[in-house]
Amino acid sequence: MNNEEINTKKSWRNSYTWVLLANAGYILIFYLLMKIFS
Amino acid sequence: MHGIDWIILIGSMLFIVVYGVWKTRGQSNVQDFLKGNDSSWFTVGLSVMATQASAITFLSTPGQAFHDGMGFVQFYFGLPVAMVIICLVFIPLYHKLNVYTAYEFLESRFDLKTRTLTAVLFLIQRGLSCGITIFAPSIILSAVLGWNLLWLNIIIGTLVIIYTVSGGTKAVNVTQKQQMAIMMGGMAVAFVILIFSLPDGITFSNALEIAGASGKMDILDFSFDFDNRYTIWSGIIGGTFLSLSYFGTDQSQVQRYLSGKSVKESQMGMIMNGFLKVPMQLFILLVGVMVFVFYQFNPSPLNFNPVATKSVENSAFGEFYQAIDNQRIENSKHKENLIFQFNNANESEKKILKKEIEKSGEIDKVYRSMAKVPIAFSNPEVELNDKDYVFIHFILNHLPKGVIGLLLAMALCAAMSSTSSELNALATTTTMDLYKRNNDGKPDAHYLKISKWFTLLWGILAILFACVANLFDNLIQLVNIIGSIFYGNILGIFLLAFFFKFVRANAVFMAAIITQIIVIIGWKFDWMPYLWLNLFGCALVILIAIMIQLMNKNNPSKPEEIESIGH
Repeated sequence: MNNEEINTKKSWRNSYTWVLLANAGYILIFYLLMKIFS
Repeated sequence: MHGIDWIILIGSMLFIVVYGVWKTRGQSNVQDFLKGNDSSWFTVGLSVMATQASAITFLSTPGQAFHDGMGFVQFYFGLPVAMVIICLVFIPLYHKLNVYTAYEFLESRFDLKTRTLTAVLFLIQRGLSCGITIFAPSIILSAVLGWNLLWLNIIIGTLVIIYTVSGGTKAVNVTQKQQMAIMMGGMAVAFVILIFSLPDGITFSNALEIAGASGKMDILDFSFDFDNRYTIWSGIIGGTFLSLSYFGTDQSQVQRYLSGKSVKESQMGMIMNGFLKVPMQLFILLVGVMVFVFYQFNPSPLNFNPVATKSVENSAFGEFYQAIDNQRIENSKHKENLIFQFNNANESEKKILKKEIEKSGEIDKVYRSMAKVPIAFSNPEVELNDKDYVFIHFILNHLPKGVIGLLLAMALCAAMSSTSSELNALATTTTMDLYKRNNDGKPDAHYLKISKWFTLLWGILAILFACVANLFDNLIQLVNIIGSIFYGNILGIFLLAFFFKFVRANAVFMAAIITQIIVIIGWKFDWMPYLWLNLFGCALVILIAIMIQLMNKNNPSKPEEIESIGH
């Protein structure tokens, strides 16, 4: 596996991490919205 | 409907059809027609989202929020997890094998009979639901607008057939961009109008407080109650499972991301879906919550289904129904006063008033439930749950000229985008998994022609099914049940293919047949709620296949390495 392939894999792993983190963030925001308005 | 609404509605529909045909003209090979293979990540992402978003998403989801609040968004919490698994496991393998369909991969991993079995199961399930994708918005629009149901089915189906037969996968992808723009544009306009329709002194923040006081902002449910359909746990666990089976094994979705010009573009499209799906669903639910707040200050019908209301008003139960409605209107006036007091109250007063508003909201629910009794007696066949009619009632009675046309175009665009993906997938599976697999060696032009004929054939079948759908009771539920009967088994076969390398073809095929029989028996004798049949079928096929494989260690099998297959 060359450097370029390793970098591509790394950047993709970052994307996967970010999409999961973003969704965890959405859930946190929903929790706060619920606490504020319910 | 005003002339300007007709112009916007007909103009949008015709533009999409003409654009789809014109933009994809001159395709001369089956690869271009069925696979595309040149879409950017943005096109893939929009196409995946537009395929999942049917007319019911835009018409029923706001109604769901109106009645039950925003908890439904939890159903989508597992989707991003499924997107990551699909990006890491499914997409690289599908691209590597250069397959047209998900089922083609199963032949290289197992054998021809497993491929054919899963392809046929998909065709039965998706063929039936394609008719429902057309029928579901048609029945709602014909009920509220008085349009002819049969003609509406035929018009929606014919428009989709024209561009899907003409341009195949590319036409589906390019038209879905315009359709998504109309869908999201329509919802955004409705949202802005709702905000500006609030009474003087009521801000957006106040509106959310009012919704919260009525229990509509209970977004998350952390309980472990199995009777509660939408909890954060069922959303993450069940949602991951359902999304994995839908996006990973359903050809109508697989075909969307296989149209990406590279593995990376396909993956990025799915990641885009993972980022945007939850906020998009929340936004649609928020529109529903704002419709709820709107109707706290404006008169609403006791039941939003006009057919139900007409039936009961013209029956011997009309007076009883009217009496319930009069009491509900009194309660609504009282609630409106409480809301205005709540808006101007200090924190301690708000706590007391919130309880009063909650109580008034419960009374409103009781009246709406009571109203279903005379409706059911007056017309036993009418749909009692009116959530599908809440948003369309708001659109037709409270939106200005022009915007009504845009919102109706939104509903029809959503129906068309889902239907076109389904027809495209049905034709591809029929051509590649059944026809070409058994009639190989013909010129490319022959398969191109056959693909177009199969698209037309499935389109006609979908219209016919939509036209007779009204004759059956609870047809939508029946189609969901059929889906649940087959989906689990198909996903189980794919999970065996990906993650259980020691399990071979014969074990999987036998397990799939046994599982299907057991699941059908389980459904017949009502062993569990039908949605759980998905999980049951998936677990069962994996378990039986492993057991058969372990019992039959000398089974001659295909090599463990996946072979490349030609077309």
